[in-house]
Amino acid sequence: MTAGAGTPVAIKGAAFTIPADPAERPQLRGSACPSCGARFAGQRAICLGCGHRGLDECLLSPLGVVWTFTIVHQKPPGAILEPPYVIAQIRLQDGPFTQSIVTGCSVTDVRVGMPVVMTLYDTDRMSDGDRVVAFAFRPGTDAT
Amino acid sequence: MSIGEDVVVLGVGLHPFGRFPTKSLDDLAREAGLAALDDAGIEFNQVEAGYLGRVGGTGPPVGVGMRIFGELGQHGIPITNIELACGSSSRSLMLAADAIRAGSVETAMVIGAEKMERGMLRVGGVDSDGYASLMGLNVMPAAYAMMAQRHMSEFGTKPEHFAQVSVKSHRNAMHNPNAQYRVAITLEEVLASRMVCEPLTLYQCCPTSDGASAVILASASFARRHTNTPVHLRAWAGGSPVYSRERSPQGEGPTGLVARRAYQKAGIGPEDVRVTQVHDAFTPGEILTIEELGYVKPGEGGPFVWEGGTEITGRCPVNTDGGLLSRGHPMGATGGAMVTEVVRQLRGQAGPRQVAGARAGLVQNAGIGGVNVLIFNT
Repeated sequence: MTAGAGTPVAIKGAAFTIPADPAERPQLRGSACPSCGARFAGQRAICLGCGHRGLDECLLSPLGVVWTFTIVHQKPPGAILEPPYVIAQIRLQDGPFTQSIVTGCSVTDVRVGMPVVMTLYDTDRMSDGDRVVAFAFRPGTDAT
Repeated sequence: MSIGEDVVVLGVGLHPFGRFPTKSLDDLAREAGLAALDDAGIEFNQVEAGYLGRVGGTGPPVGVGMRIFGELGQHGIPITNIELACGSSSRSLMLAADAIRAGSVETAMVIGAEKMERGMLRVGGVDSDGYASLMGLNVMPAAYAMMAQRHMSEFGTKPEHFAQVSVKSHRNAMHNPNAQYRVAITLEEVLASRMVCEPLTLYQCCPTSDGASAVILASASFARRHTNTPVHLRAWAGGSPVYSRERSPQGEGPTGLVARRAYQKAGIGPEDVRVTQVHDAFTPGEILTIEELGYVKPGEGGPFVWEGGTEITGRCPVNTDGGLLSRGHPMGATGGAMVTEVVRQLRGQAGPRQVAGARAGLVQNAGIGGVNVLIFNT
């Protein structure tokens, strides 16, 4: 992530941590079922696995693998990304699936099954003096 | 009128699919409705319930069904608006069929109608803060492209297999006067058209369209007074996504599960179906769906299409009217158009695109996770 003026804030509509120490990994916020242990990206009230009501907030693993992906070549209306860019469905190490862009490699290097790690993505946008930051996944493993 | 009666498709009608800037939604719907009434040989005052399938877009969102059916006549029948994204009019038909089988009414009419804008469709669902839009995540072709990539990775399906779906659909649409695109294209042209979301090129994406469909259902006892050659709506089933810890929630809904329910109700199996319309909003729709319908084993869909298995002369003819890819996809009208094609095939009225010996047909229509399977026979 590039250094710039202003405090980094998470883009509206996505829930994840922005560590003060750049050496630490950001993590998606999720929900965990206290009954069956299933985890979900984002906030859920009811477990899809067992129906338990009342899930706990949790932080999800920043590690995952690419379940599937595509290289987008046509710019969707309103998008801030310039094609070509990669959209992937990522299966996180602790179970849930999430959808994300993939950065940090050539778009043609992305493969199904590729290990990825969560990273921050600077949108180059400001909001009330704060830098708006989104998240992405890049190739990598626990050791990188 | 009695409970448990067989349901018959008494009439079908379309307004051609394409771009009709001088016509309103109501014009399209009225023309399709009148065509279906003529086909059924009944008057609108014999229709006992009306269902409108529509997604939205151009024109007022509220009370559209009341207005559209009100143009055909006003004799006090219940009118219901149904929205299930691209599966709106097939779901409408299922509810109409339920009403007939329950003995509530003897006849019902479904109209599906849509006027659409040009451009890339967004994926539906909640995106209240615009995050997915800003990050370019919620694009419909990407959803199908990711299904394709997973299939390619699991089974070795090739980009050419997907492209061949479009070649076949365009060839079929040449014989369909209601189709939006009536021009043949080669495999090379499909593959060389602009890349949208890999592996899907532009000619593997359905167009946005204006159009309308209408279908009139009746109880078997009512139908006997109007036709000697009824096409029966034998079974119908719907579904929505099934949570799995093991697989990503991608796809257009649990077609395999819904199809098994429909086969069981119909008392037939996939081997008995002779003509099929599937939801090919993008080319992977055909290859993945014929596997889920049980026509071929998982992973065999690509080679099966490549070798001509879904051609009109193949073992499992699919999208004989050009499908969403070539006939067009005015979202609310699509399910009714699929039913219209199957009914014409089963009546032997499909002309140069007629499938020989078609006695049973199937429609699979999906909308953002909601999926419908309907089985017809003579």
